[in-house]
Amino acid sequence: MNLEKVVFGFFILLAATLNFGFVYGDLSNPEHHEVYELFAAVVVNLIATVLKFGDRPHVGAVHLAASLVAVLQLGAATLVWFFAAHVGPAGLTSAHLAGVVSLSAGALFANVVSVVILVAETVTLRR
Amino acid sequence: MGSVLLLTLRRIRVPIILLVSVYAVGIIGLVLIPGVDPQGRPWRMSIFHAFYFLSYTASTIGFGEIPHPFTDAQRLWVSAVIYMSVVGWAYMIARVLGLMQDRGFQNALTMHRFQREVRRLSESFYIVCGYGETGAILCRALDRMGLRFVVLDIEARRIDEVDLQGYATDVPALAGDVRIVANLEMAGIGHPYCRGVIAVTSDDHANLAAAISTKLLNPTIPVVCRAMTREVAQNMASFGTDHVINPFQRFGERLWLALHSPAVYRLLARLTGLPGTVLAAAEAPPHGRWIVCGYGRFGREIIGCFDREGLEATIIDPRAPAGGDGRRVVRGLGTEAGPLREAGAEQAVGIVAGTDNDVNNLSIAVTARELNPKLFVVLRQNLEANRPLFAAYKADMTMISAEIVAYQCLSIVATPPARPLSRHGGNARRGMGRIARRAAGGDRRRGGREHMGRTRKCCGGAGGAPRPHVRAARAHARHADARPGRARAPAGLSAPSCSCAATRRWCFPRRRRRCSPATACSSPAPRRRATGSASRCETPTSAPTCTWVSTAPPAGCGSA
Repeated sequence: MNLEKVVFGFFILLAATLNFGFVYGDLSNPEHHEVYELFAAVVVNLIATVLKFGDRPHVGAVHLAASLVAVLQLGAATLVWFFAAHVGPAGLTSAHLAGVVSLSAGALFANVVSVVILVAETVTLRR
Repeated sequence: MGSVLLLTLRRIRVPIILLVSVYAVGIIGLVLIPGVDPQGRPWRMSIFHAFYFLSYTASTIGFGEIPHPFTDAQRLWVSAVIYMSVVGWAYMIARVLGLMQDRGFQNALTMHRFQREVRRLSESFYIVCGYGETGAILCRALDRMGLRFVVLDIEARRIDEVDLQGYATDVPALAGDVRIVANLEMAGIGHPYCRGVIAVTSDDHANLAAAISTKLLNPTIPVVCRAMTREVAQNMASFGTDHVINPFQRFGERLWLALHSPAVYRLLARLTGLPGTVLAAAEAPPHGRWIVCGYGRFGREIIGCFDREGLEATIIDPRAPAGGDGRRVVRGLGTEAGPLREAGAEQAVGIVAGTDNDVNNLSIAVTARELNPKLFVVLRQNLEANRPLFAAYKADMTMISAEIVAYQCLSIVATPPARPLSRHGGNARRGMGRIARRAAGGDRRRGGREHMGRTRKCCGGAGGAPRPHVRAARAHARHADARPGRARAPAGLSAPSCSCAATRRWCFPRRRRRCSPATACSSPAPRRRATGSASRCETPTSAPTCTWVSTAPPAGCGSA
C-alpha cells in the first residue's frame, strides 16, 4: 500500500463529501447549510488541488482541471456568502443562500468527476 | 511554459499544503475561541475576520487586534498560530529560492526559452554546431551579413560567450551535444526556415553525427561539415553530405596550386580572397627541396602536395614511421638547429612548420630562418590566441585551420556561384583555366556565356533563358535600392557576398562603369534594353547582360 495514494484518495473523497454535506438540504433554508462546512470544503478542496499539481499524464491533467473548477466554484460561493453576510445591508437572505448553495452544487459536480476519475484509474490499475 | 509551471508547482506542493493547513487551523481556532467586546458582551470572530486577522499577522504586517482587543485565551492561540505561520512562510520561501537555484529547473527554463526562440524565428537561419574558433569566426561573419543562426555547443562556457558577443540579432544558443538528435531538433532542424546545418565542432564524429541526423531528418537542407581526416570526410560524403571541408586538404590544394601555377593561384586569391586569408602570399613558393616538420594529418597533406608536384621533401618528426613512406626522415622536433641541419636546412628552399603545437612551430620557423634566411616559411597556426605571435613573425604563408573552414563555409552559405570554383581541386583547376583564358583576353564569347550561367545560378538558379536572369538582377537592384545601408538578399537569391562582387568586378569592369545606377534597372526603358541585349548575348563581342547584374550588387559586397 502506498501512503501517498492513500492521502491522495483521502483528500479527493473528503473534498467531495464535505461539498456534498454543505449542498445537501433545502436550497434556501439557512438551517440546512452550515457555513463552517463550506469553509472546510474550501480548505480541503485547496489541498486536493495542490496534491494534483505536477502530474504529467493526461488523466492527471483532467484531475487537476476538475479540482480547479471546484475551487473556482467554491471561491465564488464564498464571495457571495461574504458579500451577503458582511457587506450587504440585509444580511444573509434566503436568496443569497440559494446562490451560495447552487454555486457549491456546481463545485460538487466537479468533485464527483474527480472521484469518478480516481475510481476509473484504480480499476484500470487492477487490470 | 506549461511544463515549467507545473514543475515549479510540483516542487512547492508541500509548503503550499502546509500553509493552507496552518491558515485553516488558525482560522478555526480564532472562530471557536470566544472573545469579549468593549461592552463586555461575549463575541465570536467570523470566518472572514479570522482570515483577515491571520493574513496580516502571518505575513508580519500586524495591524493589531481587530475589531476588538483579544482575551488572553485568544492571545495564547494567536501566539501559537504566529509561530506556525512564520515557519510555514519561511519554508515556502526557502523552497522557492532553492528551486530557482536548482540546476534541473534552470536547465528546463533555458531549454524552454531556447525552444521558444527557435520556434519564433520567422526568417531563414542556419544551425551552427560548435562555437569554437571556427564557429565564432563564422557566426560573426554571418551576423555581419545579416543572416540569422542558431548555435549549439557542448560546452556551456562557450554558449555564455555567444551572449557576451553582442550580435546584432538575438542568437538562440543551447549548451548541448550535437550527437543527441533531440538537441538538433530543438535547434530547429525541421524548422521551415532552416536553410542549412554547419557542423564545425572540434570532434569529427560529432560533425558526422550532425550530418547524418540532418540527412535523415531533413534531407532537403544542405549540410556543411568540417572533417579533419580523409576517412571521416569520405564517410560524410558517402551519405550525401553536401560539403565536406578538410582544412588540411584544402591548404594542401592551395599550396599545390601556388607551386604549380603561381599566376592562377594569385588570381584565385584575388577573386575569392577575404581579408586575412592564407591566400595572400606575397611571392610564390619556390621549387626545390623542402623540409616538412610534423608528419601528422597536416604533414601528410603537404607531402602529398609536394609529391604531386614532384618535389623532394625531408620529414622531421619524432614519431615519423620508419622509412617515412620512402622519404628521408629525421627524427626530432625541428625546434633545434641539429635536426634542421641534418635535414639540410641550409640547402632547402622552404620549410613547413606544421606540428600541432604553436610554440614549436614558431620555434622551428625562427631557428630555420637563422640557419637559412632565404627559406620560404609555411607556418601552421593552431590557436587563435596565438595570432599576434604569428602576425609578428610574418611567415610567407600561414595556415589557420579555423579561418580556412570558416571562410569556406561562408563562401558556400553566401555565394553559391563560388562553389564550382573552389569546392574541389579538380573543379578549381578547370575553373582556373577558364578564368585564366578569359583574363588573358581570349575566348571572350565563351567566357561571357559561362559567366552568365554562373551569375544566373547566383541569382537563385532561374531557368535557362536570359530573361529570368535579368529579372533576378532587377530584384537584386530593387532590394539594394530599398535598403541602402545594409541590404540582405531575399531568401531565394544569393546573399551578399564578397567573392560575388569580386567576380563581377573581374568580369566586365568597362561595361559596368557605363551602366546606369541601380534604380534605373527597375524603370521600363532600361529593362527593355537589357532584355534586348541579353538576346544578342550570343554575338562574340558583347555580353551586356552581365552589366545589368553588376549594376546591382547587394550593398555590402564592395565593403567586404
